[in-house]
Amino acid sequence: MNKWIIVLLGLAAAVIAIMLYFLLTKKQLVVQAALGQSQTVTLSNSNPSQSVTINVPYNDTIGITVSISGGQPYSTYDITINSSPSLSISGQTSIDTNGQGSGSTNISVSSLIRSATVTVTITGPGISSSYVLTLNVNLAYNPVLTVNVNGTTYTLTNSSSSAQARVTGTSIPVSFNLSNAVPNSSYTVQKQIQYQTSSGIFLGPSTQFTVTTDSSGKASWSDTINPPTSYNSTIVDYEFSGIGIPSGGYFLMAVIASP
Amino acid sequence: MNKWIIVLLGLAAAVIAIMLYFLLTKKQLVVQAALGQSQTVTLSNSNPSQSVTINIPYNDTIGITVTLSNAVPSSSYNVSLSTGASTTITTDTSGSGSASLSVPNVTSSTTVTLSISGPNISSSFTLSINLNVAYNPTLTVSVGGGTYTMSNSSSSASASLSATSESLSFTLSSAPPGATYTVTKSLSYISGTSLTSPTTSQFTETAGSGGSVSWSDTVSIPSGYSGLKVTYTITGPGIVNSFSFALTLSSPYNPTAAVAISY
Repeated sequence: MNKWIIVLLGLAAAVIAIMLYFLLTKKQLVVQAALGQSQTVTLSNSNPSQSVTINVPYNDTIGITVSISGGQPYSTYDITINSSPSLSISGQTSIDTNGQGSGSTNISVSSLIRSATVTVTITGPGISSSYVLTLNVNLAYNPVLTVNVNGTTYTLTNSSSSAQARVTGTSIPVSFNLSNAVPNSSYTVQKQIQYQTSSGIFLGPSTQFTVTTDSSGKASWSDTINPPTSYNSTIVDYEFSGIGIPSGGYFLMAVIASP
Repeated sequence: MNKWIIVLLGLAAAVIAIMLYFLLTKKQLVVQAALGQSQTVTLSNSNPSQSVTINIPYNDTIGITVTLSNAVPSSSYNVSLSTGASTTITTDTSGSGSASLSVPNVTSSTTVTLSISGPNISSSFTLSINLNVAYNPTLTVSVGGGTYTMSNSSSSASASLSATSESLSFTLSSAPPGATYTVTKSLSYISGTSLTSPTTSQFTETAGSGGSVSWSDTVSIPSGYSGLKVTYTITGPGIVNSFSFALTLSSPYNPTAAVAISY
């Protein structure tokens, strides 16, 4: 009898151990995506108007997919998109339903350089009053990169995206502070070194790395430039790109003259 | 003796001549009664009573015009109807005159007697007018598989259907042949919970020799509206006020729009 009790207790302990293992080690799936977010709003005759607010980074493009179901077969539903201020809108703004009364279309809204209100209006057979989706587009992320080169600060933004620093020294500290960027997103830093001699400019090493913002859209990192003394000067280009930064990126050129 | 005979014969001839003159030249008193639109009946001392039958539409009003000729100049003649209406004709110096009476809103077959009395009318001139309500229009509307009938006793009907388009067939029967009817179409669209301002159009339909006429119409809900309301109003002879048929058409579709926003 005692033998069976010991066996059963052992089995119970094993089960509890396995359960504890899963409870302590299994991680919950968490998806945090600054880009690629989406939300779907459903409009019907009983709920013809809705309003949503989305936070987007500077220069983002919004994709709007309108899908009709339960509509009149082989009919046309018109989609009118208005924006204030005016935005660039492309895509087919009507839906021709199939034999089941379904159909869809994709529309892009781009050139988002400031907060805007986009109104999507859908009309067609069986829609008693227009279906209206009011999309409040909040330009929440407009990255600011502050670069300190040897004690001098340069601020790069979408309205002022490049700067040049001229310093003299042998070991130049460079620190970067990124703010107002999209949370939990990756940004790319491309570093290119060039050397200037009396006979011209020679390309040096090029490196690339990524920085990831925290949940508040901030990131910091630093670098040190150690220019070789054998060149007249060393030029270090930092090109910073990512979400909310238009093509071309933020660009800082540091020209370090050999002392 | 012969002389007196000759004188008497001469006098007799003169009297006969005078009588013949009057007989041949004196005009007879004549009464002409014009009934409704097209019938005229003549009454005189030699033919003082007559009877006439006329077919009329429901609710029609019969106009009777009495014209005297060869009557006693500057005299009064009494004209009366069995309905109680009466009037007086005062002849002019040539012995003529006229007056009008009417029998309004005849909704059932009846007989009305017209009596005329006055100087040189030995007994009253009498005209019996048999008013036969022969035309009592009926409108039949067929739509969506249903049939709706309107008449003077039930002059309006309506239907509500769920469809994007419907054809309506109208048949007006028991109408006076050749009568023209006016059809007024009032069309509004349903947008949300409100109706658009109605668009009104009008056309006419004419009854054939059999007293019937048919026509059709189709209404459709345009894009952007969930329904429509159309009202047809028909007026014309034999219709007391109007026949009215209202159709409310609602779209059978209730689409759902899913708007996916990606950014």
